[in-house]
Amino acid sequence: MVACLSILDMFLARAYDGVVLEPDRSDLTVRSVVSGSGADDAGIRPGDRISGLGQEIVRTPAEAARALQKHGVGERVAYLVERGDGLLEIEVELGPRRLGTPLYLYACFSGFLFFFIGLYVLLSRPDAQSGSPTHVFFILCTLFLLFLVCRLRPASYSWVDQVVLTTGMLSLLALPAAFLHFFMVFPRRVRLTLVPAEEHESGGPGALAAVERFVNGSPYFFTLLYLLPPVLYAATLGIGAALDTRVRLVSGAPLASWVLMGDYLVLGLLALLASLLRAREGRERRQIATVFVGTVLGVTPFLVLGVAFPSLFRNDRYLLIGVIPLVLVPLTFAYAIVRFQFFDIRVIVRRSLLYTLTTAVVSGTYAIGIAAFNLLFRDASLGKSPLFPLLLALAILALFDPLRRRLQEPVDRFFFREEYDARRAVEEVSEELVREFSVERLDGLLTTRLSEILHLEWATLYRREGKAFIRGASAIGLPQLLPATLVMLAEVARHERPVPIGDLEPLKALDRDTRAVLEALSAHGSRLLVGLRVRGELHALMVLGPKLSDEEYGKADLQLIKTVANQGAVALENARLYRERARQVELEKELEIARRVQFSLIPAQLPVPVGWQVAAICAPARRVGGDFYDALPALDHGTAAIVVGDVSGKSVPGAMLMVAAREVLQTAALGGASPSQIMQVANQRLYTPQPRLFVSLAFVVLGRDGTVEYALAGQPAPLIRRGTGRVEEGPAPVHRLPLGALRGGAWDFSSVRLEPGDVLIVYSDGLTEAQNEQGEFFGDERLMSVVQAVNGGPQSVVDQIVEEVGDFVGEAEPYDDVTVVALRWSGET
Amino acid sequence: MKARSLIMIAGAAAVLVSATWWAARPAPREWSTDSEEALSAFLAGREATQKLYFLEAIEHMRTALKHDEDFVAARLGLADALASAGQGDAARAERDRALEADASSLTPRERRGVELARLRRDGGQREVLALLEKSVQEFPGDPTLTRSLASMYYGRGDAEAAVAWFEKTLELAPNDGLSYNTLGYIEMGRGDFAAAEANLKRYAFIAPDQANPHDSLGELYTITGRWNEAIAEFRRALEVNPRFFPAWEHLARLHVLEGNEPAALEATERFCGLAGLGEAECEVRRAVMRAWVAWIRKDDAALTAEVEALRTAPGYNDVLMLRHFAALGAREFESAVEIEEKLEASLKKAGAEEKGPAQGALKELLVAARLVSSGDFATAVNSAAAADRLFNYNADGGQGVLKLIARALHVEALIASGRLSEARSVLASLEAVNPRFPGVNELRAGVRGR
Repeated sequence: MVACLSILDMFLARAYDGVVLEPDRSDLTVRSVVSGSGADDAGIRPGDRISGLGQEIVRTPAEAARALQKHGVGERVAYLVERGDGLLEIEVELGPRRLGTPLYLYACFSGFLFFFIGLYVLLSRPDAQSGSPTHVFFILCTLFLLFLVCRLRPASYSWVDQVVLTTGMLSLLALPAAFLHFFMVFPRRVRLTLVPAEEHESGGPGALAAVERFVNGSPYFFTLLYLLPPVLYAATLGIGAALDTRVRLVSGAPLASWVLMGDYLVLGLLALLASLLRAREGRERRQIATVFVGTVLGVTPFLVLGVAFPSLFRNDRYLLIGVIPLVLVPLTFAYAIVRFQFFDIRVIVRRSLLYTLTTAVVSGTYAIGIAAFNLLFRDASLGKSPLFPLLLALAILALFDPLRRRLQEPVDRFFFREEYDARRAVEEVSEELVREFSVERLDGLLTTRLSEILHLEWATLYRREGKAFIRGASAIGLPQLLPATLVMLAEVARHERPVPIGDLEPLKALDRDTRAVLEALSAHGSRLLVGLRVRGELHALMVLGPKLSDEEYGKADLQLIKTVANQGAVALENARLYRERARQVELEKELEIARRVQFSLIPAQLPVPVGWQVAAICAPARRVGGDFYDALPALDHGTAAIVVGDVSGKSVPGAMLMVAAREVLQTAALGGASPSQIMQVANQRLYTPQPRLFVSLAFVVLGRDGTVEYALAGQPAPLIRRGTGRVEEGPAPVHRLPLGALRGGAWDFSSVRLEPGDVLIVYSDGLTEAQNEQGEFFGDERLMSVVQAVNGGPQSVVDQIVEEVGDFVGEAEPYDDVTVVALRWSGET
Repeated sequence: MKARSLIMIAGAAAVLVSATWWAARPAPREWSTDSEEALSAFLAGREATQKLYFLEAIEHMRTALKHDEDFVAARLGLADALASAGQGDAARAERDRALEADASSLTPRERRGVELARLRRDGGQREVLALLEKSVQEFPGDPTLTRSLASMYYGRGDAEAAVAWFEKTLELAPNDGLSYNTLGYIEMGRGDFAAAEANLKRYAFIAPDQANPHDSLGELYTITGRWNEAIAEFRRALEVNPRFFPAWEHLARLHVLEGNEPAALEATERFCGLAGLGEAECEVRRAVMRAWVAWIRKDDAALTAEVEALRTAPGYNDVLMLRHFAALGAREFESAVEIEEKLEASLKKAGAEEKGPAQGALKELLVAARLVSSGDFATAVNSAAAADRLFNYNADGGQGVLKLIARALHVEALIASGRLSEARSVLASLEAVNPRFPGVNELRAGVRGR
């Protein structure tokens, strides 16, 4: 606003003599005279001091302005001019105001170029944190604008001069500090090294280390940087006033201030040079080199010809040559911005125009406000104070920015939907995440979209697969997998927010693997680690690289990442569950097939010799069980061999073992081996050291005369229900090891003889170990009672037993397969 | 909205309203009138008074009183302007009327003005001075009071205090012509001709339609030997105000110094005409001019003849000096001593303190001239030095020229005493002020030993 005020004042049509005053003096010393103006024609020269104007003695520019306002264009006005030791009375014809020279216009153009580039960068990063390069760059650009427009302004008599020139002086004091500040944080913070690292660790020299710590880490360092020039300025003038000595001012500031400001500029360039030398990545190097060259070529001629010459030698003949190259500074910044694609350039022009319009509207409002204020305070004490214009200007400055911000928000919302791109993008990502059930596609969606939204160089996702986190396809160069036991992963899982990689530095000392991983991530330029957690458990880890702008992640960035990460975690979990469910469905299908296969392998009818009746059932606990029964090829004429097996493991593995065991038994039986040999062969075939698999088996040989011989390999002894209703347990053989339990083994056979009507019941342990909802086992006693109570043929026996067990178990999940084979000797031959 | 936010907004609003109320409160009234027209005319009158435009000031003050006849400040301003314009009776009448005002209806500043006017009328100078000193403490921003105090000090011969208070007045009112004029004369009297010129030029700048500042500048240039510029300023004064007769008198004296008798007599004629002098008085002035020209030309016979014509003229200083110089030319030292004694007697009669240093200096000058003529150079040195010291450069009353005459006598006595080194030094100081002063060339030759 001050800059606009200055420019407006320069070109307003009103009577003007053509005198340009020394900007840094409170009196009316002539700095130059506009060529062809009334003052030029009248012979007023640089160095003259105007003492009177239009019959009034004037001592200050404000008094001169008031005196001049009483006259119009074309009027001849008497000037009292001090030249050397004498006073001259000169008559000057007033002309229209022509103060704005092409040089000044050029300076204004350069200033606004700075400002708009700074503004654009700032608006492109509305979430940038205070002190970030974006903010400092904007401050630097604004100070350049104020300096060029206010400081290089040809001063006349108007009150605007005081406001503008004071602003110009303040900007001059702050500009070198902002310059140094910017180059200390651009493209990233420059670290001062005064003490070698090893000396730091060993305690090191105190003062130097303290200075180093202060420069590199203290938040007050930059505050001090900005405070030093005004403090030095005020102190020099204050001491001069206290000692009653006149401090020599060079272009309005003590020499000490100029020396300090020069130091700042040189240090700023050195900081930029240091960044250039330290930059490893080619793109970054080119970016810094561009800015460095532009800054050196732009600033150096200006410092020499535009500042030193006029100030020290009172020679402003080369001012234009000094000012022209200055435009290189914003241009190189602009080039770096566009060339290295830091920002989307397409809206810059539109934005600039609209913000200018907004500023104009606000300025107009304030102009009306000023008029109202003047009217209000016209007769008040304050209004009569010479400080009133200054206070008013300060008040306007104080109020301008809040109002502008207030207006800017609706303007942004209305005109610049881009401002809300991020928010909208998050919403879109949410929708996409909800729709997506492919873990692989989610991986790509999360990393790609996040990179687009935040303008990241890269992003990748590590997804937990068992005991490791496996990297996605992006970010080649990062470790392929991260062990789930890494300390750093536990640390990331502990935080709800994204964790800057720097925060994990202390963990390097705890864990060698973590150290290696962190170094690998750091070397690749990783900035943030984001845990994707569900119910506190880390399901995935997102690693984010630097932003294209090289800015730090802002608060809003972190919030956005957190939102996306939370949604991503849920989406990943959903995808995982979905995949598991799909797999389960698939498995169930496969189980169904397996069950059919299994059942197809279990004979529907068991062949038995004459005089025997048989009924059998095999009820797997799961869809596919490990129990089975089968009839082996006949060993002798008139006999039959039945096996009832129970393999270790349930479901598909158990079923597979069952198939294998059945096959082994069938194969061995076909070879004509005796039951003992069959058992031994089967044992050998089924034996494996790892994994340990074994099969419980009851090998029953039915004789032609009601005799039954049986061997038990881990199976319970059969029950015999006598025709009288008595139930007894068959004699148990001595050797009863399950098949496959040991490499070798021998099984002996027990023999019982059944009377007509007796029933032999062979069963698997799943029958007695069936549990009800209370966890009680069905048990031997209950089985004995049931068997005692049953009647009818073998099928009836089997049905009643299964029914009783079913009643006992109730709604409880079947624990084990249940197989029951009932054999009844009728005595017929 | 949270309660905290509401409290903060309410607090901020309260602060804002209080600050606005404080800032917008009306300034204490300085003047009692409610009439804007009266106040505006009064302020214009004050500005005119500052620039010594007394007639305009009278008009403005009367306008102010027409709008508000009880406006005491305007009436006192009118009284001052009338007094400055030489209308003493009318001034006194207005002042007395102002003093009758009801003090309760006046502002503190106006009450103080009334008090001062009453003291000026009834009290002594010391009481007025004391009240003025008190007033400038109480009303430090009022240039009228500071100027009055400065003028009081100037009138009492305290140049240092006068300068300080005039400068203070100019800080408060940079267009106060009266202050520039008086400062110009004070600086001229002290020999700081550059400062005097600057002040008088500023006065001339702010009052371009006044003859007085140009006339004053002419006097300054007369003393300093810038005679062409002096003539131009006198003529400018007469251009601005053709009836400004003092310029003609000053022009006549300048022509005397040039030795240009016809021009001096012509200027004297114009002076007499404009000043309305009678033929007898005018003839005395013509004779004085001719006599001075004769003295400058060292034409003793002509001097004696002209002084003879002044035998019956009143005892002006000019006439006394010319008689004295004629007596010396005729080597009638006793007559010269008689004149000196006559002058001394008149000094005693009038009271030397009241007359200031000029009369004492004049006696020393006459004594020095006699001693040089009688050959008592050693004693003449002391008298001439004393006369030089006692006179100032102030052109008002012709002291500046007399001071330079005393210095020339001093040089002459030193040369005659053989103290050439001292003579050169004093001559240099004379040349520094006015290198064209009559007799300087002879003195230059004298110090060279020719």
